[in-house]
Amino acid sequence: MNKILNTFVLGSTLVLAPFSASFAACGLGNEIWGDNGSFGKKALASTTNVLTYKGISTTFEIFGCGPGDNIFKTVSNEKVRYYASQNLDHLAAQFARGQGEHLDAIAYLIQIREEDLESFNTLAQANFELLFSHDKITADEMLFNLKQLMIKDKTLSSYVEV
Amino acid sequence: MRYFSLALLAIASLTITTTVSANTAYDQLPHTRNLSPQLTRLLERADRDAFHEDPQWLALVHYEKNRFSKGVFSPAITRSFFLAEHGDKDPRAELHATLLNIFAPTPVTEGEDHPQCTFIARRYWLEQKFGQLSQSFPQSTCTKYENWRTQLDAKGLTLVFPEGFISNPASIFGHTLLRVDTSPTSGQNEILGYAIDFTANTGDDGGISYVAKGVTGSYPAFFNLRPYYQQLKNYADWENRDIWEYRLNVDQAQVDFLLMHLWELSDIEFPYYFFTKNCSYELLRLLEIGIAGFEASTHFQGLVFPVDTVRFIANKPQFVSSTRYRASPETKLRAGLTKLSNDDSSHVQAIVKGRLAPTDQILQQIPPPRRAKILDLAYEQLRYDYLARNISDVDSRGLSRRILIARSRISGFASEGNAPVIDYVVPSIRPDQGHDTSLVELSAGWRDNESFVDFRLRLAFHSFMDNSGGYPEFMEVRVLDTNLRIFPESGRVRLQELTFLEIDSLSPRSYAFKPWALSMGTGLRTRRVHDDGNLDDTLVWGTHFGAGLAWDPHPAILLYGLPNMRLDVGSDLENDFSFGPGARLGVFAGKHESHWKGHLFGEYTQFMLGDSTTSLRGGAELRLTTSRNTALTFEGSANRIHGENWFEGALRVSLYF
Repeated sequence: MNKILNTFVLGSTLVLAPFSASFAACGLGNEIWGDNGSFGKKALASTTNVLTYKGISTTFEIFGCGPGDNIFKTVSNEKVRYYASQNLDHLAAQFARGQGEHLDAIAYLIQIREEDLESFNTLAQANFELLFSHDKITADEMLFNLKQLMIKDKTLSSYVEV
Repeated sequence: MRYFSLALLAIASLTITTTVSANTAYDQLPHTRNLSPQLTRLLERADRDAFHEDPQWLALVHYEKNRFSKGVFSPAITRSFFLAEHGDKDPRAELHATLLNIFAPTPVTEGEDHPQCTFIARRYWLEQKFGQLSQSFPQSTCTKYENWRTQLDAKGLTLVFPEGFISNPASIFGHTLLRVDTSPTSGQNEILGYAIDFTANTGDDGGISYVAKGVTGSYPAFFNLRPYYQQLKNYADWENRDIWEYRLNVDQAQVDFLLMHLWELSDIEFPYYFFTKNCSYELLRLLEIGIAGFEASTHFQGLVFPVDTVRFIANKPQFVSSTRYRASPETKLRAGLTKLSNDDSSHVQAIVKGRLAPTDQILQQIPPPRRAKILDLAYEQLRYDYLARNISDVDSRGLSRRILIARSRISGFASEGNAPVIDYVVPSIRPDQGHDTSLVELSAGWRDNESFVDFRLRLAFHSFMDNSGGYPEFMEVRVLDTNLRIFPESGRVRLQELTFLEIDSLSPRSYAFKPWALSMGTGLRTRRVHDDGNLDDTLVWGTHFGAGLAWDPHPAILLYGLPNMRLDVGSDLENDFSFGPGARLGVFAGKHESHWKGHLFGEYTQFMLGDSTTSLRGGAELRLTTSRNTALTFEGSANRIHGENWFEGALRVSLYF
């Protein structure tokens, strides 16, 4: 609200913080609820500031998210990893609830078949504490935890690279 | 666009470019080269059938008609967007140059695309135009483009409208994005789509320079394509704007062609005009290119308010196949908290404040569905407070996880389908169904013993007493609000008011939300002043600013109180000005979308410097919405200044257009 006040006083605008290069990184190492996490202000600021780079692109490399160890047998692990890193806070809330648009989206990216969706959602909710195992968890850690859980699951193990 | 767009030329329409049209003659083209017979045939055919006059060709190069002379110009700033030397003014030369480039021997520079890949939409369009003849076009594979298209997986388009955001002057009227959908039907994986936006890069500018540059087109703007979930973070999570989505009825070929053209716009800079050639206008232009015969931009030659473009699209028969409302986190939280009992609501606050553990025995005794709601709202509240910077991440992160762990132990809701976890009501009136942007009003009234007729014209946008369906609640924005008063008995006519801009925000405060109520405005207004011993009406330039609180103890009641400062400037005032503190308070009655609305208000100003006096005003308004675009209002007020009292009353008939 201070911002609103400033705006009224100065007749000015939202002052956009300069885009920080370090923050353009894939974001996998960013802590979920930290200042740099997907929950954080900087993450949001960075989305509003990437205005002048080659804007029309969908290659994930432009965000600095390169191929890592393959986790899932999906077409694009980069997509899963990037998506998780950018939406980790939403994912946490929806994993805990066992439903939601973000949960559906990550299931889609991992290419979970419709008949296995319920198993996936149940696994996500029932194991929330293991998946988001500490306060400073990053997307990569969470995905690693997810992989471990899915390997042990009769239905879902087929989606994971062993 | 509207009757007094013209009057606004001075402030808004600096888009005028007086480029003189240049008619490049055939002999100025690089015909010194030895053209192949096929190419010569194509050029002749293009000329014979005047391909360069085709609306889609004009749209592809973004040509606009010159305002004051014949001919056209393209506002693109980046030179590489034009292949002919004077391509920005000469559609024919540009078309010829495009053909020559398509036939140019293969690349150019290592790693660079062949022009037929860079200008893939132009090439495709020419192929369609030439029909059989286009078989002579050289073929080349455009790997970069193909990869990009595969990644995009585009199957549909959705117009996205984040509602007005009062903190940013450029966003007050809302914003539009065009989402590229990955699913051929609506409702699936929408957050995995990509959103096209046309955004100005304003850097760190603020204040006057921001406005001046914004109006004169001095900011560079580009078309961008970003993951939709990132846009949602920006507009929904961060700015708390409600978002409306309009899925468009377009076929695959239209989507494909639009994206071909988007590819051509990569890295191409355009000027950005806040009020005319803005985000919403350029997205309409983009749709025009994708959809032959769409013809939208001709309807938007003056000021362009994003909501008007949404209305245009929604009113096109069969063009919108479905709509979706996304409540902002704040809207959800307000709605969710209102529905809780007092006990549950205090549990939410206790959890957020750390006074009650999410796994506490008190909560365990609550039935699971209710407990789930409490925990969900506590998490959303914590998240909201964190983003509003009311708490630090150190304080929030441990608690966030503990709440979610407690929540994850309550299962059994997934089977209920995808109903929102936190209930909120989808507004029954969408933004495109709200009242039209401009207002004309006729009033008959009296002031003490003299009757008057008021003729009022407001360019935009919305005030608290207006038909509120489709508009953000608690927000008033008035632009160029003019009132002409006629006294039939004496035959006098005077300008009563000309408000340039008035912005008010009365977001109610509660224990969960702590916004300030704000009010500011500037423009000409009528004030009574001393004139040779008598009191007489005069025009002064009045500016006010106030900040205070608003509160809604009941959904149909909104109380507000704002201490403020007023400054009036005018040659009829003593010392030419009058300045002092004061206050405004009042109460609005009536729910957001209700037909009846009431307003009681009181205003007090103690002008202490310059022309000093006490000014008082109190009154009531009662309004009946008779249809989407009509309303009746009765208003009465008691006024006092310089010790003189008078009463004023009027019946107003309003028509939006």
